[in-house]
Amino acid sequence: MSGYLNLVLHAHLPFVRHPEFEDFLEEDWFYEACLETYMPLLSMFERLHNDNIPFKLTMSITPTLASMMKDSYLIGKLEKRIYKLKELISKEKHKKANTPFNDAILMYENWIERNKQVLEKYDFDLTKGFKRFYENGNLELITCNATHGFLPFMQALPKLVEAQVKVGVESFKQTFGFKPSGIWLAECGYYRGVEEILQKNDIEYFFGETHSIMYADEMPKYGVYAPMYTPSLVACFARDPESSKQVWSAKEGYPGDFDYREFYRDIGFDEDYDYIKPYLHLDGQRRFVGLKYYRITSSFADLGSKEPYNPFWAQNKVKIHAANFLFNRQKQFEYLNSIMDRKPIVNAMFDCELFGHWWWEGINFLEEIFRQAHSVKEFGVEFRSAKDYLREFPTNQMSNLCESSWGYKGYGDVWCEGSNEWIYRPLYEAGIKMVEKATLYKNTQDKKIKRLLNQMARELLLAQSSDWAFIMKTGTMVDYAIKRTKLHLKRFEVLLDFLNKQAVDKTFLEIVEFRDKIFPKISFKVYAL
Amino acid sequence: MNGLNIQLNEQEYVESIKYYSGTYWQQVEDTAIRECFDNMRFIAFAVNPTDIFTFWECEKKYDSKLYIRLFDVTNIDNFFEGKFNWYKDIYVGNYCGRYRINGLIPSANFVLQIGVFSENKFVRLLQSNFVRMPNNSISTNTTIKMATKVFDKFEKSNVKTEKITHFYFGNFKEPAQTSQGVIK
Repeated sequence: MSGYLNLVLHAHLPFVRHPEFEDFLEEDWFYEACLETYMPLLSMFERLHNDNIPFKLTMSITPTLASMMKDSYLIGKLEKRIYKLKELISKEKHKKANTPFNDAILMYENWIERNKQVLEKYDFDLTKGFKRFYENGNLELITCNATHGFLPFMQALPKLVEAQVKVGVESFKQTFGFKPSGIWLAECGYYRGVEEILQKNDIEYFFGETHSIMYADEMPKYGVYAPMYTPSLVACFARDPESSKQVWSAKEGYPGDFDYREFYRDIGFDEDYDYIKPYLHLDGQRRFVGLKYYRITSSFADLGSKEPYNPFWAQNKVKIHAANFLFNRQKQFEYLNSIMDRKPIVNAMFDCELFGHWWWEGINFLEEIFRQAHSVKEFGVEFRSAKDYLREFPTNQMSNLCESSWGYKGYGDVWCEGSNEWIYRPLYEAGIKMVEKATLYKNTQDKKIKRLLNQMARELLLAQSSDWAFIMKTGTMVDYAIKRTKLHLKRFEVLLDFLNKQAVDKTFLEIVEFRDKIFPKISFKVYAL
Repeated sequence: MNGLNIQLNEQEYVESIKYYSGTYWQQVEDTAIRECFDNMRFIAFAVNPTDIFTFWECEKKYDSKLYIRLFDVTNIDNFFEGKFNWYKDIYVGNYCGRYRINGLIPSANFVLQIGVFSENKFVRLLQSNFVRMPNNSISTNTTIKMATKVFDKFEKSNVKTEKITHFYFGNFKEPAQTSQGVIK
């Protein structure tokens, strides 16, 4: 009895690029995710490839993240960070020789060296690495709407949704050189009607939260274990709650195991200030530097009571947990096969940064899943992408799906509540103005006006990122999220003012173009009626 | 700083813009943001199966006089001919504002109008877009359609109707709990 497992990793970061500052705290999100997740993933793919282990998974790489991966300014800073970390690890190796931390330091030494090799191997452009494994047939690469805007809240003005989708698809094609067959709708935010826009962009499928299918207008014949077509014949693959929870929950899931690395204990806070200062930002504030030597130890232990991390114990747990995950899929498939007249597909969908960044051992866990699924045939786990599944099973139930998201409570509450609901009035105002002006100037040949409108489109898209509303809701880095929303909207207003007055401050335009260097080939006409 | 050349090498450019302090820059660094724009707008969207979020802007002369009239238009095709299931009025006052309407019906359809009362009669100023509320339960409709797609052509073919006789997935938990399953 076997079934298909579709592992889906959603790789996303908001576009954060601050060349006006030497160090910028929120830029660290990108460096940390590269060092702890994206580069180790590429190393892991390489190991599996070298060992002839078959593997297949799906990754959505958002246009904002892909732009950052290709940005020479950010990648230059990433490289600098690798050299600084190498230097620090080397010092640590001598300072902490013959201590309980020795094995962890050796682990970090290998990690940083591998990351350096990955960066060089792919010519300082990580998108090339992911493209390589797409071409090898191991990776199904899909896009996301341009800046991860939450589409259900834009539906009153469909042009806003069309622009998010079209720019997302075009940007993907420019990065990877082919058309994506699938899309990750930001936050799994689905509303009825978006499928028509997806269909116009040749998108075959998207991923939805469990109840996008479970609460469809007709009873779902196969639950979430087969896709469901929308009336436009764009397919929805919905999240399997069981496999997802096992992995992402820090409390009940694998990542909370006591032998795994403790995320919050970092030498950036533990070490003598003068020793660690060269590895902090210029402001000298203590922060995570990425070297963590303790394990979770217990759910009750405070940070001061944590015990040293043992990479061998952790690796042992990874093997146990991967086997347990596969065993549970085996049991799940046995049950599903008993009630279904076709092979089930389990869509296990995760934030990519869970693996490696939040859950240090997560990349090894994924590797072990592929290795054990290959070596232990009894698990009956075969890896299948949504695209391949649809070609094998082109007949599926068709219904009107349920509006949904993967946020708390399953709908839009996270992105529209007391802390962030103020953003929608100015966002819509900018959107309406954008559509008006794009329509008015769609046939213009004036290069200056085109350039102005293109930058207005970029500012609007950047302001729409769901990350800002999410951060306002969750309460960390709130000032930055508010500032980014307001900054893009303000820039939009200034550019609109230039357009209305037909007078451009060229320096201002050049600077905003330079600071937010995203979507270089965007055409404002995506907003034109 | 006028005429700054974008072709400068990147590092020089970064250095130069650090010190740019043109008029417009001060404008964008000013963090105040408007929520009223002197444009008439009325937009609404569903936040969850029971709540609608709406915002509007009318002429200032209507300040403190505004009401939202919420129409239930579920299964109504001819709202524009005056058909609806029911309506209710909500006093919102401000000429420019936002409001969350709670306690509505999942799967229903609504449209909103904003206006004032004149001689006990509601006078519409603006009408919103239509809003569909999300479903919040498994459908009891067991008659389903199965469609076959011919790939790369986006063709529908062979859409068949069938009946579900046994439903095995009814133990699905509420969306808020979809991540609360038990680890075996």
